[in-house]
Amino acid sequence: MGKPLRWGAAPTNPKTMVMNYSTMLFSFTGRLNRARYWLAGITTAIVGMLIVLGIALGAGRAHPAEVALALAVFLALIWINLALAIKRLHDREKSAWWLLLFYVAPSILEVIGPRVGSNVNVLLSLVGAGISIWAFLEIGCLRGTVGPNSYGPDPLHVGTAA
Amino acid sequence: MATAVISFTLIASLLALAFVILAIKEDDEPDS
Repeated sequence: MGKPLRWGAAPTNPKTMVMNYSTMLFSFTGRLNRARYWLAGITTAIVGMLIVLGIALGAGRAHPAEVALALAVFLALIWINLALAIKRLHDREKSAWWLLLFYVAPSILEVIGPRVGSNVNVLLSLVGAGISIWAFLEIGCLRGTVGPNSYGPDPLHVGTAA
Repeated sequence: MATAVISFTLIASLLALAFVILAIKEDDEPDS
C-alpha cells in the first residue's frame, strides 16, 4: 500500500496517453482499469441520482423542463455506463459487441421467460443470472491484459513505465 | 422464504463488494 492510489490521477496528457475525465466518461475507445471504472461508475451514479432526486422532490408538479432535465441526466448516465463498460471490455481484449451478451441477453431472457413454460422460465432466469454474474466479474473484477493490447496501452502502466 | 431471500441477497451483496474491493486494491499495486 505504499504507493498513492492511481485511480484518481487522470490528467490530460496525450504524450503519456493517460486518460482525462471527459475521455474516461464519454469515449468508447481505449482501455480502463478496474479502480477507475468503479470510481467513475459510483461517482456518476450518485451524482445522477441526487440530481434526479432533487428534481423529483423540488417539483410540486412535473414541469416539462424538469422532466426533460431528468431524462437528459438519465440518458447521460446510460451513455457513461456504456462508455465505461466498453473500455473495461477493451482492457480485457474483448470487443464492445460483448455488451450484447452481457447487457441485452439477460433482459431478453427475462422477457421471453414468462411466455414459455414455468420450468423453462426458471432455467432461463438462471442462465440470465449466470450471464450477469459473468459480466460483473469480467467488467468489474478481472484485471485487463498485461501490457499493450489491440485497444491500447495497459492503463496500469502508462505514465509510470520508464 | 423471505428470510432466505434476504439472507441470500445480503451474502451475494457482501461477496460482490469483497470482489470489488479486492479488484481495486489489486489495481493499486499492479506489479506486486
